[in-house]
Amino acid sequence: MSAVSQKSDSQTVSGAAPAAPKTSRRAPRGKPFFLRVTFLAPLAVILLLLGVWQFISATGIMDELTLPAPTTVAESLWVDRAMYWDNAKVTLTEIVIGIVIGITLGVLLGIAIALQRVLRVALYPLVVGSQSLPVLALAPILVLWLGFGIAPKIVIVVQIIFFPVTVATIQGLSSVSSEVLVFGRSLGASSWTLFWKVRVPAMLPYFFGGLKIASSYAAVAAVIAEWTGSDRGLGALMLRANSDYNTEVVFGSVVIITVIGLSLFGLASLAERKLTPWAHASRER
Amino acid sequence: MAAPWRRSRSTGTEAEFRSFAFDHLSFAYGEGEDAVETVRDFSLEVKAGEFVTIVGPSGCGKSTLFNVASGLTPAMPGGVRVNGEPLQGVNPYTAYMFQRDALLDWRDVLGNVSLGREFLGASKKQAEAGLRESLAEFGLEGFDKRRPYELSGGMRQRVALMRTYATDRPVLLLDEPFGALDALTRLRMQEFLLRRWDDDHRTVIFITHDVDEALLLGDRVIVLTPRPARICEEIQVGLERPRNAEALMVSPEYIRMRARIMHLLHGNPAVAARAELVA
Repeated sequence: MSAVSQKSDSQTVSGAAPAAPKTSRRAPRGKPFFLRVTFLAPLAVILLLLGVWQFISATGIMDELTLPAPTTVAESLWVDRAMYWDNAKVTLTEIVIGIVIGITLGVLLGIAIALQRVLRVALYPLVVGSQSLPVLALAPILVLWLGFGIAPKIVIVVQIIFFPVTVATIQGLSSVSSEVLVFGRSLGASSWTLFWKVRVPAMLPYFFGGLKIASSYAAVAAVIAEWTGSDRGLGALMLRANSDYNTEVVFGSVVIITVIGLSLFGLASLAERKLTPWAHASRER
Repeated sequence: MAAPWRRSRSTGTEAEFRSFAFDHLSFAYGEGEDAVETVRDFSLEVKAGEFVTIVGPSGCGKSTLFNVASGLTPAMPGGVRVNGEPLQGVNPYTAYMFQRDALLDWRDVLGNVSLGREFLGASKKQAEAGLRESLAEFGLEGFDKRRPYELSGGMRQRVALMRTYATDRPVLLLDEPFGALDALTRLRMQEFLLRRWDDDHRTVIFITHDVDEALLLGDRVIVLTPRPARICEEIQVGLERPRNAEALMVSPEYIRMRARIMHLLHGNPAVAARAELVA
């Protein structure tokens, strides 16, 4: 349609306005992703920072041992990719299991606290209190109880990420307007029906808010957990490399951890967009 | 909206609705010294097909009346009667509508309109049966796939009204349903509700604090006292139907009733003397 109208425009008087495009409720797709500002702007910032970093290394203001050049880090990532991958696998396992348990625990606690007065009174202080536990200081005891494997790391990841999920779940379940509940109850709807048809969908946008926070904490939590006693995983690799003055491996690990963190956040955002489209649409208004 | 959507199982509304009554109802929240009395010795009978409006000062306990009427808030035994019998449990004849439309953002218009039927136990498919065709009656034709956030305030209230209508409950409890709309939209909604009501004469109990709204809509206007709510006066409106808001504004009868209600609500002794004269 646009091709036709443009053609007729060029044949008639120049400057004539092209036919108005049919109004569409979706934003026009237009350029491919890699040409859009949302992709180009952050890319430019990253390239600029890498450039400055490379320049500093090249001029020798800071020596290679303290600050390896980006190219050195990239080289290390490629040459030792098998080593990085072996360790990343361990960390990823801790993160994934930690997130699954953390979300499940977070949601269940949230539901219990939001909907049951007795459980709210019983559990809320404990849940909030758990966040002031210096869990890293207690890590040696966890190791004592659970060994040097991935179990104590998973516990630490769970401890750090369940809380934002719980808080978001409580908020979401309580966000339902009392009018809908009264309307439903007066028609004989059971608590179960109201839970699935009203409370859960109303909770979802809040849940994804909590999930995004949790997913950005998860990678860091796993790495720090590994520092407390481990021989495998990216955190352990960093510690070893640091004491061996293999700074490029430290930076290489940081790059991978960052990529993992960004990917988790991206996945959570994608799920949010797919599963709660109404939340975005009403916010844009 | 006949009821082909209803399941065969008993929904408790098979017996025909004849009347609803508050019978010397008193109500207080809390216990002992902290108790807040919201309703005192309140009696009112509403017959099937009547349109009764209730006006009162803000916070006088109007909403308590509805919560007791629907059976969600248990009242003193015998305080509420349905078809002459004391109400036990949830009232099987009533459906609510509120000032806040409380539509579900994740459901489209059709999904919102069918919600009440789903609450009554129908499956999604059964609930939506026939509703798409009825959208036009509520000025929502072609909007079945739209989401609430795409609609204007008046449209949202029409969706909420249709959701309440679609339950096929014989008694509609409308709690300041147009209170949040701008004056012109409110007037349109009032006329719209009157046309809908002319079609099937559903029993309506309508709470408002807008005197014009009460007179335009109701067969009777119940004027309440400040808390605890008692009946201050009952006014038989008796204006001919179908009613037209603009024509009413200049009708002497209407002006007299309006002045009377304003006086009752406002309670200014200086004005009282003049209002008595007018009455």
